[in-house]
Amino acid sequence: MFGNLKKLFGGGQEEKKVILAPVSGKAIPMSQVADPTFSQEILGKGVAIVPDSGTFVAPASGEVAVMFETKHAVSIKADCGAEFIIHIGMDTVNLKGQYFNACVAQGDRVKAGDKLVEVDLEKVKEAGYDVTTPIVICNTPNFPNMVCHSGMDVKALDPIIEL
Amino acid sequence: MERKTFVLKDLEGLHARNSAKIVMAVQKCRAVKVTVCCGDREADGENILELMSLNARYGAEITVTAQGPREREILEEVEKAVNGSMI
Repeated sequence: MFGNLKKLFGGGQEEKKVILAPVSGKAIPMSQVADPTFSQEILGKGVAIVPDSGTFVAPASGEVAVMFETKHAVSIKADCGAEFIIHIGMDTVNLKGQYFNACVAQGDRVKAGDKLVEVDLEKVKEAGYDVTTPIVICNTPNFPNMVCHSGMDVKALDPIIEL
Repeated sequence: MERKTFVLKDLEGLHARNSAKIVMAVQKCRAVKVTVCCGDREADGENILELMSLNARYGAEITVTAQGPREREILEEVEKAVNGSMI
């Protein structure tokens, strides 16, 4: 049991305080996101990913704070103190959950890499939606030295934000 | 302290964008402490995660409390942020 606790609390990766890519694709700066709620960093700073896969995983270990009924957005209170939201696509709230499958529920504990949501990306695109996925640190003021990396192709679990 | 209760008219409930609008409205006047309640849940008006965790749905009754200078004005702004525009 103590071994497990040690793993939970003493994991080397968590101490580095990095947020990993939840999906593979192209990392772009938030300023290039079409929706001003994100591009103007009203919710906080972060990175957006134009995904090339429909499998979204946890970018850090923590607790699922919100899983929307529409499953287009999920937020996590990470063990490292970051509170972030992964918003899959623009205006996708209007799809009311169609093409989205949630793999976790509100209150669940997740480890970095655990599957959060499966999306039929092609169907979402066919329905006319921009699938750009911002990862926003909602409590940005707590991390004055945050560094966001963009402008490169990423695989899921590549580091994108250093806190 | 001022309090106002209204019904959520956004068909998708409280989601990222309208929660962000609440946060923006509240941040216009940092001296005011704003709390948003839905059912037995309560959220800090400046914390988007807490706002979204309210799970407020279309038709839900929301009570907003403001304490501080310009509290009445801020309450109006918050209601506008939630129900003002359906875009």
